[in-house]
Amino acid sequence: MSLVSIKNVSFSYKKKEVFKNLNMDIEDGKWTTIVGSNGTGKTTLTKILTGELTYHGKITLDGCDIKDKYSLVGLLSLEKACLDKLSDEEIKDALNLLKITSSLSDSEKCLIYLNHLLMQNPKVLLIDNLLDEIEFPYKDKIIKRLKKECKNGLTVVNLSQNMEDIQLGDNIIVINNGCNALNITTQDIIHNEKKLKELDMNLPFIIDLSNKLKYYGMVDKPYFNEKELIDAIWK
Amino acid sequence: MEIKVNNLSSTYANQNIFKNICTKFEDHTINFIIGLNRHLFLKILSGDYLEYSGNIAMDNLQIDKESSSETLYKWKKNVGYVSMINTNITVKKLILSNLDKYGYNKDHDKHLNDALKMVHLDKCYLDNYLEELSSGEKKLALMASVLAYNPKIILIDENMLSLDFGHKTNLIKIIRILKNRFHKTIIILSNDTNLIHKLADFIYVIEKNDTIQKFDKYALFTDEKKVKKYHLEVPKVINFSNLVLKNKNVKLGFRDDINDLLKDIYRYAKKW
Repeated sequence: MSLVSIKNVSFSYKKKEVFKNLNMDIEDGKWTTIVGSNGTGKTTLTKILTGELTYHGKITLDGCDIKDKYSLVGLLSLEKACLDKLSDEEIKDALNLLKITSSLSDSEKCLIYLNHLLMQNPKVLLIDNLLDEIEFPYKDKIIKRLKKECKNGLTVVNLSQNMEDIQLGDNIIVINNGCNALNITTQDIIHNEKKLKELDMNLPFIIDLSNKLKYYGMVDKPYFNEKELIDAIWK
Repeated sequence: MEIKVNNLSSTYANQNIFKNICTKFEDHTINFIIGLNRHLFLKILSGDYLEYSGNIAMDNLQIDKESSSETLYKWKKNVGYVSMINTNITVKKLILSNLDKYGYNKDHDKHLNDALKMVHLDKCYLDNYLEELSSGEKKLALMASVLAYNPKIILIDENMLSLDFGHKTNLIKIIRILKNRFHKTIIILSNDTNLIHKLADFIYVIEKNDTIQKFDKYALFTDEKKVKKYHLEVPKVINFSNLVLKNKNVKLGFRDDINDLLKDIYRYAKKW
């Protein structure tokens, strides 16, 4: 069932058209990864879904117009976490809690900001370009936390330029320049390689490797998991 | 050009951040810095932050706390610092302001074009305001604005290289060209270990406030203890080799990229 449904949405900045009749459905309670190159409008989409920008067309959340439901949409990004959302008070509390005296790194701020967001009980959590920018141990922590929340019913939407991220989630949507959103599954990715190359997206490492091995006749099909691939090579 | 850090000590917000740090970045190499307070370290190298004792030196130029504005100007002309800025001007103005500042008064059009060409940005971006660009395009424009005045040492801030596949592949090529053809010394902050593995000659880890360690990339990423200690994500290629060794007891070499890995698998799987 779709939770957020985007129908015929158009949006343009003064000179540049970003979306033209965009259609997209985001499934309830699932982890959806939206991938697209730089400049395809990922950040713009988050701004539209959080009410920061006005658009033409129709977006519904849970069947109601999203304009009355912005409070149910949370947005986690490094920029947001670091710039405006944490008050000095909150940072101080966190510092006391963690028993450290120095200032917080950007990644730590992010973790705290995530807590802050989850306390407001959002239905949808958007992650904008975060997992690429945050440091490794924190990235792991954030993913684990979100996986847990996702199991409990939170809809997670990860907007990313990194194809490796698709392995984290259930659904994948590729946005092409401007208008069309391509709903695909991990299985499709193998067959859509050409299309992805056109969009300037690469395949995730493990699929890329197993595709190449398949080309040389060393395995019979692509694998999505390192261990399975290794077992297939050294039977 | 070589860049040397001599006895650097610094405090920030009343805390000892660096204490007697000595290190050296070699001439025409690509270096990555990871670890504690690396932002401040890069800022000090750039000449933007001066609250420290000790000095930083290259060839016949040296800066410290007491440097005159003239010395600092010379330093900054030689050391380009690519980082996010918040002013909203056009790309043209951004690049021109740097050209003017560092004494390129003639042939503006040529310099503008060359700079954009380096980062594979089309000329039509010149009249766009920075805020109108996507985050990736903005990063490329900022990179162009530094390359325009041809500094000998290039410092690249965190996340300036977190781009989509196409742009990243381009920038990797550009950085290699900057090193190999133009003999630049490049220092990058990044936590993307796959990128580091692909690009680095040396990796510097700031471990404690008084220790900075220099590693060859193989020495760092294949050492499980170090990887754990510094909280690093193991690059995909090395991770795969590790898994093969663990599960099948087959020792693949540690390879630079997926094509090398492929050859190695072919070699060893046949033997098997």
